[in-house]
Amino acid sequence: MSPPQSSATVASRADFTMNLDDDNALVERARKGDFSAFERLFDRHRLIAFRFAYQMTRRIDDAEDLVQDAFVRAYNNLHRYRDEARFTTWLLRIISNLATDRARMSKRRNNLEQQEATGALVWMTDTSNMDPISNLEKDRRQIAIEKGLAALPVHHRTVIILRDIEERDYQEIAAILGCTVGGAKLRVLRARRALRDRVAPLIGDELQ
Amino acid sequence: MKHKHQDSIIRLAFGEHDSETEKRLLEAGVGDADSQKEFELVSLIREGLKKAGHDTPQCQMSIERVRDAILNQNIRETRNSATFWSWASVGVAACAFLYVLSNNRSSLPETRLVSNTEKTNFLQETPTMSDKQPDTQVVSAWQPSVLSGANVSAHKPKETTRKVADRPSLPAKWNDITSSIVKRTAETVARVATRSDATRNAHAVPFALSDASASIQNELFDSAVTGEQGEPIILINTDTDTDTGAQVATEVQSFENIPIGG
Repeated sequence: MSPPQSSATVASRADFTMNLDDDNALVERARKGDFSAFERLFDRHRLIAFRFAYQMTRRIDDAEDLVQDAFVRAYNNLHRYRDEARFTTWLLRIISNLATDRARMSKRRNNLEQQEATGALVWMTDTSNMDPISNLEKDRRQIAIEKGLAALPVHHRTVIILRDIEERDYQEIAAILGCTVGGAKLRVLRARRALRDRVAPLIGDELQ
Repeated sequence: MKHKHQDSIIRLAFGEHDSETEKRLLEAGVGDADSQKEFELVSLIREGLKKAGHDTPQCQMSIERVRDAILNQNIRETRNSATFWSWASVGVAACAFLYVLSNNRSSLPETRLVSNTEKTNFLQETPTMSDKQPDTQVVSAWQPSVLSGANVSAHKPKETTRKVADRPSLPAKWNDITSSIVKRTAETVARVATRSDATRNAHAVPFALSDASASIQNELFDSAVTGEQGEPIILINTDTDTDTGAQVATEVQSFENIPIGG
C-alpha cells in the first residue's frame, strides 16, 4: 500500500512531468542520447507533420516519405534547435524546405507544373487517375479548387496550406517561412490571388 | 478590376479585415455587381480550402520507420566513408603512377621527345651520310656553270661556303675540313675550265672532278691521321706486354715513316 501523498507533492510531480513532457525538455533529453524522448516528440507531432506533408504532396506515400525525412533531419540537427521557436514550427519549417527542395529537384513535377501553368485546362478534365466513386462524391467545384491548389507553385501552395487549411496565425507562418509578419501576409495574399486566377475560369460560371 | 480593390475583397472574404472595415464594406454591399461576384467567388474558394483540410487520410507512420531510417542513414554514412577512402586510395595510386611516368619520360632519350623540326635540325647538325648530300649536290650543280664559262670560281665557292657556314652547331674541325675541301675542289675545277676551250670542256670536267676527288681523299686522310695539331698519336701493336698482359702501345708525335695498310 502506497503512502498517502500531499496535494503539493502531487502538484510538483505533475509540474515535473509536464516539464519532462515539454518539447524543449524532450529535445534536451534527445540531444543527450535519450531516443525515447525523441519517440515522444515523434508521437506528439507526427499527425501535424503528416497533415501538412499530405496537403503539400497530395499523395500518402510521398507525405510519409516527407515526414520520415523531416524527422530524420530533425534528429540529426537537434543541436541546432533553439528554444525560442516551438518544435512544431521548426518541424513544419523543415517539411516546407524539404517539399520545396523536392519540387525543385524533381523534373517530372516541374514539367507537370509547367504544363499546368501554361493555362492548359487538361488537368481539369483528366480525371482518369482518380477513383470514379470519389469523383462522384466530390462536387466539381471542390475538385477544381483542390487541383488548382495542387497546380500552384510550391511557395504559393505552402502559404495557402499553412494559412487557409492549417489555419495558423501569421506570426507562426512568418517563423516557418523565415520572414516578417508583413512579409507573410503579403505572400498569403499573392498566393490567394494566384489561386483565384486559376480557379475563377472553372467555377466562375456557376455564379452567374 | 484593380488589384487594390480585388485584394480588399479577398481579405474581406477570408475575414482578415478589421471589424470596422469589414462592417463598412458589408453594409455598403461590397460594391458593384462585379465586386459582388468576386466576393462570392473568393468565398467559395475559402470554403473549398477548408473542406480540403478535412480529407486528410489517417497517418499510419510509426516510430520504427523513423528509427530504421536513422539507423540506415548511419550505415549509409559508414558506407560512404568506406567508399570515400577506397576512392581516395585509388586517386593517390593514380597520382603516384602519373608521377613515376612523368619522371620516366623526362629520363628517356631526347630523340623521343623532339618534334619533326627539331629532328630535322638534329640530322642536319650530325655529320652522317645524309649530311654530305648537299655538298654532292653543290658539286654536281657546278657542272653547267663550268660548261658555260670561267666566272664559276667567283660565285660558286662563296655560295657553298655560306651554306656550310650556316650550319650552327657543326664541329669546328669538320667545318674547316669541309670548307677546305670545297675550296680546293672549286679551284681545281676553275683552273681546268680556264685552261680548256669550249670543245674540250666535256672531257675536261671529268678530269677536274677526278682531281677534286683525289684532293678530297688526301684531305680526309690527313685529317684522320694527324688529328688535332700537337696531339700525340698512339700506335697499338699486336704484341702483348709481359707485365700487364695488354697490347703494347707506342706514342709518336708524327705520322711520318709509319706504314699504313694491310
